[in-house]
Amino acid sequence: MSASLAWYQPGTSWLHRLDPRPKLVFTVAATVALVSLESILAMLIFLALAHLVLLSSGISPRRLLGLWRTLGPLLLIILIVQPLLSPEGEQTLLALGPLRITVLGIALSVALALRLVAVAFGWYALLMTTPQSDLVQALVQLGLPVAWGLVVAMALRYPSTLQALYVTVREAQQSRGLRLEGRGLLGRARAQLPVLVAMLVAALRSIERLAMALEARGFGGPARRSALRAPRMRPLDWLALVLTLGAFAAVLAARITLGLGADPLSP
Amino acid sequence: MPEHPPLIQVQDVWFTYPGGVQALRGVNLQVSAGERLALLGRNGSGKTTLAKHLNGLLVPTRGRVLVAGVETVGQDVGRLAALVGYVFQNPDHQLFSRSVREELAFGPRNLGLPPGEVARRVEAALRQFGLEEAADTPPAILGFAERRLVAVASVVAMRPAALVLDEPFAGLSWPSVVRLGMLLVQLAAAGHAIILITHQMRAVAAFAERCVVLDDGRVLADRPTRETLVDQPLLKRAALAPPAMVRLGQQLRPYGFSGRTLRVDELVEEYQRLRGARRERR
Repeated sequence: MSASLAWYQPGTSWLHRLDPRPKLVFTVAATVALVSLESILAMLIFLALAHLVLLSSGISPRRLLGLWRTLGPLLLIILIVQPLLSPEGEQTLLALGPLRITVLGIALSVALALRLVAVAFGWYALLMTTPQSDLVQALVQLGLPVAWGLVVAMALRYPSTLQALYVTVREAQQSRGLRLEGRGLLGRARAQLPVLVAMLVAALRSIERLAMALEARGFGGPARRSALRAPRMRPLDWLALVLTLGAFAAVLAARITLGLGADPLSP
Repeated sequence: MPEHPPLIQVQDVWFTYPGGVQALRGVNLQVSAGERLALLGRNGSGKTTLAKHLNGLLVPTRGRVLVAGVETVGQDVGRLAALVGYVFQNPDHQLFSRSVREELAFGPRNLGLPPGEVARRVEAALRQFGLEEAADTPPAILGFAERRLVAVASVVAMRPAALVLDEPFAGLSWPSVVRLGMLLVQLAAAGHAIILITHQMRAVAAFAERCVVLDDGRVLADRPTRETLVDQPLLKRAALAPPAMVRLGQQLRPYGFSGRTLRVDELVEEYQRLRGARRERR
């Protein structure tokens, strides 16, 4: 059974030990910064740093390769379709009827693809080194209502739950003679129907039961909740937070006042 | 000994999950047509892993599994389904159709049977399982016990030579257990091999004739049900408890009982025999 959707990788590295709050702030700041930038160079620098950070926290190179492979199909689509949609700039490389492929168009699509990977790696770094419960606790400490925190926790947990459910249901239907392979694209999609319908029904049933089980254990009651583990910010965590905010401010300032990173090919 | 080669042959099967958990360590097992076999053992002893080998959902890391004389490695689960039916523990994991009738037709259709034969098998299964009245109801809105029956019937409609059932009695009331158990006995009498995974020892005593006890991925014992359920040390080793009737029979040994009775009817019969013998002595 594949566990590719179970994000958290237990460990004791520096990144694992860091308080989830600075990590969360860093990831959000990095996402905003990456979205505001267009520069390919900036994306590459961030990606290189993200890889270094992940490797230094004991995440295996194979795991990182797996992330690239997961994102691969999406990147391919962006690289193929985006140049056709944004034929900007003067230098035309190829013109075919109404279609025009330009140097800038390609550069933009490369920047877009890299930005996507960069943002994804930023979030992966957070999710892979922070237990989900700590992450949710951090969100609640930062002011998120507890009920919302639970929603986030379940949203993070659900992909792997659904994947396990999918595997079970698929096995159950295969045991009744369902063939999933062959018969063309449409046939294969149709063959998934018995799996997906049964899975949906089972998932809805389990959500309903889960909701009742939560209420039965007093969730949503009037009492103020306590926390089993409330992480404390240590000096190192504060330092990380200050560095993060400083770097974020510097990047934004450079972007706004100096126009750095404003187009894909400039620094 | 059966004259035909056994329907299922498990030969020195070892299995390690991708995560590194060694679930089976050299399991040997033979199942013949018409047998009613129970796989027993504590949680995590390897029962489900072994059962999933029987229809090719899992293939051995080492050793081999033969179904009707053919090795399961490289065979499609969908194809093996014609020989070995597998009923999953949670009926909700397999029910998806708009009506019970369609649900029952799903398997036979997958086997590529002609429409007439599909209809015949579906109607036969509906009758056999007493589901005629629910035939046009969506299975999803049936009660749990009936959903379980539909799940079993939907596999039985494929008429597999062997039927594997993972915890078929879990969550059922005793009358529902008896209803399903009697159906399984009928199926075995008709020549199907029945392989049960269950923790309900009372159901084992009532419906299985042979028990395979697994522990830590190994076969601890493979004997007739009576020899298994009256063997306290064996059950203790496998973290199992004998059914109440067996315990009662064993505690009555000082009064002349054999301690080898499994069910209420057997115990009553033994009591009557003992009483009759005492009267004669007077």
